Amino acid sequence: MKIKHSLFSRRTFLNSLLGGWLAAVASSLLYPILKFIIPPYREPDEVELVKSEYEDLEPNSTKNFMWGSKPGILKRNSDGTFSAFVGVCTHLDCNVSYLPEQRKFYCACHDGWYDESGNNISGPPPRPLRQLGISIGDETIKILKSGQVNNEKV
Amino acid sequence: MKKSKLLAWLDERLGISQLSRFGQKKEVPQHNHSLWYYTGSSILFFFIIQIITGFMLLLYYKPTLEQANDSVAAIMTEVPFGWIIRSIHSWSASFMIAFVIIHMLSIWLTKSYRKPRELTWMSGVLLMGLSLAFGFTGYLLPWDELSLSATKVGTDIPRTIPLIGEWITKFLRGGEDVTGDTITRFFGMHVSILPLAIFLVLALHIFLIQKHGISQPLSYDREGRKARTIPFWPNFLLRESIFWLVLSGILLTVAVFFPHHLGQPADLTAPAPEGIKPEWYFLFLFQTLKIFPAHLLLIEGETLAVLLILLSAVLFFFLPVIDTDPSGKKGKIITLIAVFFIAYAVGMSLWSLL
Amino acid sequence: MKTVLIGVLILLSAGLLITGKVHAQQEIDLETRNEAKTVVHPGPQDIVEKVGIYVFLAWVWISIVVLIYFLRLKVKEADRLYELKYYDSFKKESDQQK
Repeated sequence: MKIKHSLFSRRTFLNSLLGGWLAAVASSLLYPILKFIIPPYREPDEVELVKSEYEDLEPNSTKNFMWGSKPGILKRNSDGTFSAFVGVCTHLDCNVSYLPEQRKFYCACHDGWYDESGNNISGPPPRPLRQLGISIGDETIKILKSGQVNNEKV
Repeated sequence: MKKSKLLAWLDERLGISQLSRFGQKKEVPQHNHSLWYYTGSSILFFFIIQIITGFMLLLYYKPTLEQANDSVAAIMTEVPFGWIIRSIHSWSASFMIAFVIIHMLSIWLTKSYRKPRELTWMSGVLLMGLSLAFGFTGYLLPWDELSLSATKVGTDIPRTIPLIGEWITKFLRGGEDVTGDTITRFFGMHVSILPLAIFLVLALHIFLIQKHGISQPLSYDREGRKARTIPFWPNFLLRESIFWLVLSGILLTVAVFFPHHLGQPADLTAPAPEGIKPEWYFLFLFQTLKIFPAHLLLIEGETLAVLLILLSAVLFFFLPVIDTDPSGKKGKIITLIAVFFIAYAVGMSLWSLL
Repeated sequence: MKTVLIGVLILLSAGLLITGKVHAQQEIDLETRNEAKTVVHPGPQDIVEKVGIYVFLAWVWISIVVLIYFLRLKVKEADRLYELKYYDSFKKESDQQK
C-alpha cells in the first residue's frame, strides 16, 4: 500500500535518529556511573572470635561482637549452648539489647520485643532477629553467615 | 516549527523559546580563523567533566592525613570503575588547562581583547589563575610522595615575596609546614571555595561575551568589513557538539590506556625524591626558578625570580590596556612578545624534563 | 587553519603523553629506590575486564562516528535553513511581539 505523504518529516526522522543514538550512549554510560556511586553490600562470610573471651559468658547473658559493620550478639542460653544473632531490629534498623530478667530482646526505638530465641513477639518488628550459624573450635568460635549451627556446650 | 505540547507548556512558564531566539540572533563570524572559536567551549566541556567525575570521587575520598592515600587506593582498586573515573579526572584536568592556554594564546595573537573586550580578557586571566589553582590543590589530595614534594615547593615560593610572603605561605599550608591541615585546606578550596569563585568569574566572562558578541579578526575591523556570520543556535552549537564528541573520545581513550598511578603515602620525614618535577603546566616556572642564581647583587635569586614572574603576571593581566594600538607598531611588538613567551615556556618545559 | 589547529592538538597530545610517561617512570623509579610495597596499579584486573573495556571503547568510538554523521546532516540542514532565511521569520515574529 503506497501512501501519498510520509508519516513523518525528514527532519523528525533525523532528530529521532540522533536523539535515539544519544539516548543509547547515555544509558550505556549510566551503568558504570550507577555501579560506581552505589556501594556494594559487603558482609563477611564468617567472623572468628577468640574463644577465651567468650567462654566465661554466664547462661542467659550476651556479649557483642562486630559482624562486618553491624552489631552481632552472642548469647549463652540457659542450657549452656550459644546462639548468635545480628543485633539489628528488623523494623527500622535500631540496635537491640537483651534484657536477661525478662528473657527478651528489646528495641528501644519503637518498643519492639523479641523472645530469647529472637522471634518477634510484640511491637512493630515484622520478622525475627536474623540468626547466624556457630561453629565452636578449640581456640575460636566462628560465627557463620549461613544458619548452620554446630553448637556444643562449652 | 511545530512544538510539542510539553515544550509549549514549559515555554509559557519558563520562556525557553526566548533563549533559542537569542541563540539564533547571536552571531558567530565565519572566516579563516573561526576554528579558534571552539577553544573556549572546550574548556567548559572539560570543566563539566571535572565536576561530574569530581562529585563521584568525592563520594569515596577521605581528606585526612591517615586516610587520603588509602582512600584513593580504594577508589582505584575496590570501587567499581573507580580507576577510570580517577583517570578521567586527572586527564581532563590536563586537557582543560591545555585548552585554557590555547584559548588564551589565540585571543592574544588575534588581539580579540581590544576595545570593548578588555574586561573579558581580564576575567579570562582570573579564570586561568583559578584553573591553575584547581590543578595545584587537586594535586595534593592523593597524598603521595610526588604530591607532598610538589606542594611543599609550590607553597614555599610565595614566602620569598617581601612583607606578605610568610602570611601567604602559612595561609596556603594551614601552618608552618605541609601537614594534614594542608589537606583539609586544599580539599575545602578544591571542592568549595574555588568552584564558587570560578562560577562567579565565569558568569561575568560569559555575560561579557554575550554583551559584546564574538569578535572578528583585526583585518576586518581595519577594513571596516563585517564578516559573514552563522547563528549560534543551532548552526554553531551543532558544530561545537561534533568537536566535543571527538574530545570526549580522545579523553576516554587516553584515560583508559594511560591511567595515573598512585604512589606510596607521603612520608613527612623522607627527603624529597630525586628528579622531582611539578605537573607539566608548571614546568616552565619551575625551570625559571631553577636557573636563577642564589644571589643576584644583594637580592636573593628566588625573590627576584618570583617578583619578575609577578610583574609579568600583572602586565599580562593589563595587556588590553597596554596594547593601545593593536594594528600599529606597539601591537606588533606585543605579538612578538607572545611568540617569545610561547618559545620560552615550551623551551623551559622541555629543558626541565632533561 | 584547520591543519594548524590539528597540528597544535597533536603536539599537545604528544606533550601530554610524554609527560604521562615521564610521571609513570618517576613513580616506578621512586618505588624501586624505596623497595617498599608496590605502587597501586590501576587498570582492568582480569581478562574479562580487559575485554569489557576494549568493547566499551569500540562502542564509544563507533557511536562517535555515527553521531558525527548525524550531526553533520543536521549542520547541513541548519545551514540550508539559514540560507533560506527560515529563521528570520521567527525573528520578525519575536520583534513584533515585543
